[in-house]
Parts: sequence; structure tokens; C-alpha cells
Amino acid sequence: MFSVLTRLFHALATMAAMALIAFSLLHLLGDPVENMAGQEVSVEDKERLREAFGLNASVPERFASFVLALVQGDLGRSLQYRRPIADLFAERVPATVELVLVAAIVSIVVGTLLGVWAAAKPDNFLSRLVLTGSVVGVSLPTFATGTLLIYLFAVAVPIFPAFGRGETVDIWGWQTGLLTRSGLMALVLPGATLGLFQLGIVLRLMRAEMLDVLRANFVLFARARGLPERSVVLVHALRSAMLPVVTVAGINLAGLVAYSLITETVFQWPGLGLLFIDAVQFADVPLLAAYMVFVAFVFVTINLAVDLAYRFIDPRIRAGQTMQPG
Amino acid sequence: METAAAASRTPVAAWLRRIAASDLLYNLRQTPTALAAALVMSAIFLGAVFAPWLAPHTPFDPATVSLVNALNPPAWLAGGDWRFVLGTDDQGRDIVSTILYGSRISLFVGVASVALGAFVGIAVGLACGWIGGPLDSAMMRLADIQMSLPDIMLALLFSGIARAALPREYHVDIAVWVLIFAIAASNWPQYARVVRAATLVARDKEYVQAAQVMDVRPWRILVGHVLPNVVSPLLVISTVGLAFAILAEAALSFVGIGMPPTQPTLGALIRIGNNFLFSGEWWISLVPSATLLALALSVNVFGDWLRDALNPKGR
Repeated sequence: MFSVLTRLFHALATMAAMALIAFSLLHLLGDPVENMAGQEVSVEDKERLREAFGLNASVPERFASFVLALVQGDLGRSLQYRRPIADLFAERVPATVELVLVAAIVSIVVGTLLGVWAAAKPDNFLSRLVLTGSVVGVSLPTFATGTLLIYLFAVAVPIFPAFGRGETVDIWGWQTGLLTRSGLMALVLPGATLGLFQLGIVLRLMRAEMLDVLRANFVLFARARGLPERSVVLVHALRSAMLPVVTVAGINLAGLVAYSLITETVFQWPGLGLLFIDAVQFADVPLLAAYMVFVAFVFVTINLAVDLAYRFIDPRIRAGQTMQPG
Repeated sequence: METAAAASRTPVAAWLRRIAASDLLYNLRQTPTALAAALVMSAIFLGAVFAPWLAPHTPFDPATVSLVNALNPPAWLAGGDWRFVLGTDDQGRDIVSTILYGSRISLFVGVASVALGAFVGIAVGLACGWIGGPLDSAMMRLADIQMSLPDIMLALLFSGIARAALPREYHVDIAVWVLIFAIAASNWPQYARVVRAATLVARDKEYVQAAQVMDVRPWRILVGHVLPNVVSPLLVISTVGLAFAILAEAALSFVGIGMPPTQPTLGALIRIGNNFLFSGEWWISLVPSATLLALALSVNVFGDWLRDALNPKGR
């Protein structure tokens, strides 16, 4: 129980550090009132605005109110769009979530299956080919994969659209592209681009884990009992190798969120990543600061969830023992 | 005795002889994939370093570039021209030459950011391990926070924020340094952790205590007696880090927060080429993509081999 609290405390400390960086970014890079008001506003009015926004308060007081606003979901206003950033994020989140979700399913399911197969049949020609392919996949940058896929399946053989999200349907305020034909078609190439990159990583981690487990004594015993190879691999070994998949899935999800930014640029996919790139080009500092805090929150949540899931699955950690890999 | 005498006469020759006779080089000759990777890597490195002498054209000199030659396909295709073996881009620049010059900046950013990250990481690791206390906990907390975010995300955030923070008119001039800083800032914790752990172990060893008794200055103990313990893991981290740095630079330039199109690196060349993909001029983006893949793949394969070869358990 104590270690769970420690983890929570670390997560909060990380968030506080990110909030501090975002705060200094906002308040060291120019005056928010100058940014908002422009040149026509008189000095007295600016002073009144400053007072209204609490900008004349001391720095710790301002930081406290900044954090309070963040906790209440007020992320500030974008300079570029002249709208609340929370609304912008709410519009963009569905696109990124759907892209990451599709890529996660592709990479984790296919990667795990191929990894297990490559470990079970190490001398098979096809499994060696898959393994070599995974090295290429890991080295091939996301944007190069995207470029290649666009050329092959949108230009040379035009099957899928090369950019955009297609038609979306509104479900309780969530704009989904998963329910229309054009939305699904538009998801294929970006989903494959993002998924393929992570697939190689999942495959290699899963294979290494399976190879370790297959050398364990209990697998030897299962074989000695004359069990069919299929049940040795899929029932006995896989159950034990599934544990690290949780960690792998966490790393995978973190990687997918990070690389979705690049995939979104390749396919002009209207998600959070594209919003960030636009904000950099426009020097939209409030949006950048809010994005930083938001991204940190996402990663802290992923890490925490993986950690807690691990505790839940592995009785050794729950009992307070230190984890020994292998 | 005789070899020692020879070594003192010609240190460089002796050093070369030692390298040629080393286990590592023997191991490399026995591993064909690693050897191939090393050759590809060296070829691209040499091509980049000697680009001004090797490149058939000077692509960024407006005087030598002519729009008459714009959008030529590779030489073996219809409409190709053997003066431009892999074709030209929309401004008539030779693709081979732009890639040679582009790899030059890509590799410079890669090597410089690894060097900077390693330098900062090693310094922090040594200081934290030796001094300990609040400095140690503060720096290691910072490293923990950084490592909870993927490297590429950090590099994107750092570069994006630096660009937003700095006035627009400086962007082109300082783009290289912003990139180097962003990538180095995202990878220093790896070095710091390895070095700190080794320093903590070595601090209590007899040879370090002996040096202290002899009144050797702390920084000399750290550099001369502690650091040599971790040369192999640092070499492996740096090799993998180089592949990451090259890809990160390309990714950042590709999304438009890296090098400007006037000094294109491999990533920026792919970005430029993407605009011509739809009109069928595939070579402008696919040739730099292939070069980048070859570079990243060979560095990764070489790094994998190095990790195994330097691991005493694997011998």
C-alpha cells in the first residue's frame, strides 16, 4: 500500500514540475495582457485587465491560481484561434484517440502473435524473415513509412485517401470516424503507419520474453509429460509470458501517443499533434504550455496505470517483494 | 619489454596494431551482418564528410542550379539525364548532391547531440554519485521525470518551445543549435544513470581510496579511475543514441520544427519531396527516405552487435 502512495506522490510531483515549466513559459515569454489586448487598448485599461486577471499578485500566488485553473479544466485561451484551449482539445482528442487505438490494437495483437510464433519456431525460414523484417520496421521512421504507403496505396494504386479523416458522426459530442465508410477508409493508412512502427518493437520484446520462458523448467516438464507442442507453447508458456505484455503495452501506448504527432503531420490528420505543430509555427505560447501539461498528464496516467496493473497481476509485487526480471 | 619499447617509439603505430589484433575486430570480421552494417555506415559517413569533393553538383549554389533541369527522373527512366543519376527536384537540384550535403547536416546534428548529451550526462552522473545528498536526489528526480516521457516527445516539446520562445528572425541561423540542444536534453538521463551507478560502486573500492590517500584531486579520480569502468556500456548507449538522434532530427525537420528548407537535412528533403508525391515525382522523397533507412538500420545493427560483443557474458 505504501509503495502505491509513493507512486502517486511521484506522479503528482511530475505534474507539478510540468505545471511549473508551463507557468514560467507563459509568464516569462511576454505579457499575457499585451498578447490579448493589442495596440488600441489604453494603458489604464491594460492596468485594469492586469488587475482583473490577478497579474499584479506575487509569483507564488499567480502560480497557485494557475494550478487551480488547470485543475478546474481551464487551460487558458489560444492566441491563434482566440478560443478556450480546453474546447480546442475536446475537438481534437477524438481524432488522436481513434488513431492511437487502431494502431495499438494492430501492433499489440499482431505483434504478440508474431512474437510468440517467432519464438516457438526459431528455425523456420518465415519466422526468420519476420524477425529480419522487424529490424527494418524498427529502423524505418514513421514518416518514411507513411510516405511510402501514401505513394503505394493513394497515388500508384489509389485505394485509400492520402489525408484527412473522412466523414465523421457525432455521438454525444464525440466526433467519430469509425462509423462511416469514408472515415474507416481514411483511418487505414495512418493506422497502419503508426501501428507498423510499434509492431516491430512489440514483436521483438515478446519474442525475447517467450524464448526465456521456453527455457524454464516447467516448460521442460510439460514437454516431458508428453503434452502436444501446441499446448506447451500456447497454454503453459504463453500464460507466463503474458505478464510483461502489460509493460510492453504501456511502453507501446506511450510510443504511439508520441509518434502519432508525426503520423498526423504526414496524413494531415486533424488531431492534437497537428494542433501542436501549428501552435509552434504560430508561436502560440498559451497553447504550447497547455499542450505540455496535457501531454504530461497523459503519460503520467499511462505510467501509473501500467504500474498498478502490474501490481494487480503479479502477486510477488503485491506481497512487497522486489521484482526480479526473468 | 621489446613491445613496450616499440610502443614508446611509435605510439600511433602501436595503437593501430593493438586495434587490429583486438578481440573486437576479430569478432566483427566473424559477423557478416555487423560487418556489412559497419561498411554501409562508414560509406555514408565518408560520403557526408567529403560531400564538397564527392558531390557531382553544388546544389545550394544558385549559380549552378538551373530550372531547365527541374524534376528530372532518375537516369535509367524515360526523360532521365545521366548528369543527374537519381534525378532532380523541383528547383533542378541534383538528388545525389542534396542527399550528400543533407546527410552532412544530419550526421553533424546526430554526432553533436550525442556528444553533448553524453558530456552532460557523464558530468551529472559523476557529480551525483560522488557528492550525493540533495544534488543527487534533485538531479535523479529530474531524470525520472524525463524518462517517464518518450525521448521523441521530449525532443519535440523542447524544440517546439525553443522555437516559440525565440524571435522568428533568428530561427534559420540557430536551427542547428536548437536541434542539438533539444535532442541532447532528451537523452542525457541515460548516461547519467549508468555513470552514477558505477560511481557509487567505485567510491568504496580500494583503488579509489588509495588514490584519495595519495591526495589525487577528485576530478582526476573520477575521470581516470571511475569512468573507465563504464566505457563499454557508454559506447553501446552512444551508438543506439546516434541512431535515435539521426531519426529524431529527421522527424523534427520533417514536421517542420527542425532544419529550414534552405539547409535541408534528410528529414527536410523527405518533407519537400512529399509535395511532389501526388504528381508522380516519387524519387524526390523516396531516395532520401531510403538513405535515411540505410543509415538508421546500419547504425542499429552495428549497435546490436556492439552490445553483444562487449557483453562479457556473451563471450
